[in-house]
Amino acid sequence: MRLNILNTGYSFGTKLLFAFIRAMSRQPLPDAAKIIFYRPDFYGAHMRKITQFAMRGVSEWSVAERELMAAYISKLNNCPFCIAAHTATSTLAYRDQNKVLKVLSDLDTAPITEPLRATLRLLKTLTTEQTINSEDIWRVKSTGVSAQQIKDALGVCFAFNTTNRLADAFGFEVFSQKAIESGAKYLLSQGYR
Amino acid sequence: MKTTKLTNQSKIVFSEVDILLKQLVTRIKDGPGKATTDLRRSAFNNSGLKEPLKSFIDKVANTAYTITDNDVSLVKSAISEDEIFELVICASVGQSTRQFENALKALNEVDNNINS
Repeated sequence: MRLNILNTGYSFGTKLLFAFIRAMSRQPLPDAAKIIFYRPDFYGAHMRKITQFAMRGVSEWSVAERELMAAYISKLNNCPFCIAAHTATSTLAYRDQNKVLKVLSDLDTAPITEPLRATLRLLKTLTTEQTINSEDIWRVKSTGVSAQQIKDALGVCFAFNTTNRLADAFGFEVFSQKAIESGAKYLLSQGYR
Repeated sequence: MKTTKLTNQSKIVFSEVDILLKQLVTRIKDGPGKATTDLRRSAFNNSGLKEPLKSFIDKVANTAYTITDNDVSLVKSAISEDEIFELVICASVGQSTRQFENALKALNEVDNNINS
């Protein structure tokens, strides 16, 4: 990472935890995890709760759908680390790589439900234009998406529009496919706690 | 998740995310830090900064994928790494918060129409 403090500035206890995680997973620790543990009272402790709630809290959106939203938002933001991590996680959750790759390459023809497609379009407008209006909301609701589902999707959008920027600014390293898949398994079994 | 009435007419979904987000924003803008609160608030709002921070923070907010090692090195010559850490977080959360609040406003408008 571009800041030395994010590579080395951890307490002895946190370094031990990192070593334990590396030993158990037999993979390098993702930079996304490191950032959460650097001065956690400032950012990490708060953002962990938000991300866990948005991605694993009670919602009509499945975990696979929310991971797909995360991958899609990351693609819109051109964030290599998060694209890799959440493409792998949504692929694992769906057990359908084709579906995920189709969404990322051509949302209009991807084999997903219309409510999900309309919601992803809404997230695209918000992510790329920074704003949406009531017509955008109506368009999504007309496909059967509830206000609660829209709110839940906006939570995912907040989490990944934040994390994508940190990843690109701090220079998160994109690891091997094996390490990415290991991370995906971890996120599905343990979440973002 | 809770559902609450924000106004007499508006019945909008209200969840823990709102509370957690407010706590995060308050912490990074107003809590203790290495960068001054003025600087953190300016980074959050992406306004009122001087170079080299101005260009760097604007990149974080709007085109983070274009940030290079050189951009970060330039900022390192002006402020400490801990200050950069805080200001990048403020800029990122600031931009995402503006998006989120704008979207909630649109959702509220639709919700008000349905319930009025």
